[in-house]
Amino acid sequence: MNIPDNLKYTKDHLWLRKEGEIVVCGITDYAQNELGDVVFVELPQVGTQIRVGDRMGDIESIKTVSNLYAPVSGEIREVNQELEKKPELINQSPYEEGWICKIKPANEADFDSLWGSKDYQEFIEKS
Amino acid sequence: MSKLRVIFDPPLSGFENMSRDMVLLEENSLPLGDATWRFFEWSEETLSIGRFQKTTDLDRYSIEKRNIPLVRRPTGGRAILHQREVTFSFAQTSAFPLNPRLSYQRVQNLLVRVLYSLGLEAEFGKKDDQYLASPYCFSLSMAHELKVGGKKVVGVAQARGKNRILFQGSLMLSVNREKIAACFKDKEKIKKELDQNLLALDEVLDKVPSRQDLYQLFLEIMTEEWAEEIKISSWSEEEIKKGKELLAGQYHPASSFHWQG
Repeated sequence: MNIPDNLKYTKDHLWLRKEGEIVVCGITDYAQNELGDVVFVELPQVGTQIRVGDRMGDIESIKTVSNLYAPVSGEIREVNQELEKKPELINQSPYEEGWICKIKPANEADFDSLWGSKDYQEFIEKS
Repeated sequence: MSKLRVIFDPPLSGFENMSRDMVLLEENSLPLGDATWRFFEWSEETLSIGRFQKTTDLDRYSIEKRNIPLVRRPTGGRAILHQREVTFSFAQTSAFPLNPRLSYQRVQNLLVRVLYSLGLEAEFGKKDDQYLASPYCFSLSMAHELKVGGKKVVGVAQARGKNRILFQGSLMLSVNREKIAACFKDKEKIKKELDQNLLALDEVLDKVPSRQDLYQLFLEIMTEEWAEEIKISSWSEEEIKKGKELLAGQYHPASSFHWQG
């Protein structure tokens, strides 16, 4: 199970990476492995204002639709449209080619308060 | 002890049925830890498709000529023509495993025991079929799905919200394969897949119990298997209101939501 140290994490199994003033997010290696083969991703709309915990999209795997929840408040700046054609990228490359969306956070502190890799590791070991 | 509410709904349209299941997935009126099991029927034969299933495999002309309504489910999975079956949904308001195979186990164990009580030994598939290889639910089996004599007799799909999970399931009592195949463009392919993979209870039992007897059997096994406080109940006022809102919007029969994609 790959949990890179340079990323932030949420209890909804999303990872986040800061790139300048933008935050990139996707689902973790652990989550893609548990969910199984991803066959469909509904991406958020670019320009949408989101608040932490809002439903921002969905993933379908093994006859199961799972909601994706916003990890930080802000604005959706970009989505990975490649996932519409190749949802399997989430399984093949969860931290790189399988990224889901880029968010401009409304508040820097939202990002800073997210879990580090050790917190996430402990969370999944307990769950 | 957690509580299990059991609801028996009368036959309803597919649109009403799915809007009620959406309420179970989204409405927060039940306390965390509690669950709802719902038995429901269809007022007419209805084709349901998975939440994100494309409609390009469907023969719309043939479906509309036969007056078969099409409704999109909140759960994943592939299409089902709801004919004579036991249809249920189960919503749990608690934490659940991320792995869909593990989250399904509770419902799966119940179904294994129901089938066993009917004299049928359920088995699991050896491996997952190619999920997108067919547009029809009973043409395919995932490794965790139940089969009898190598054929699928019950289909279950899931949807997950926050601290909330919804299962929708169909146990086939009898089927008309020709009618199912008529709903798809590639009728021969679907017919062949159904001959190979689908089983209805009337094809293996001398006498299929009535729906009421099957409901009773489910309840008895739930009581033994889950050891919860089971209460036969109904919908709350807020749930009915929310269901009506969904039926007037996304789940309206004329909504483009059903045929989109």
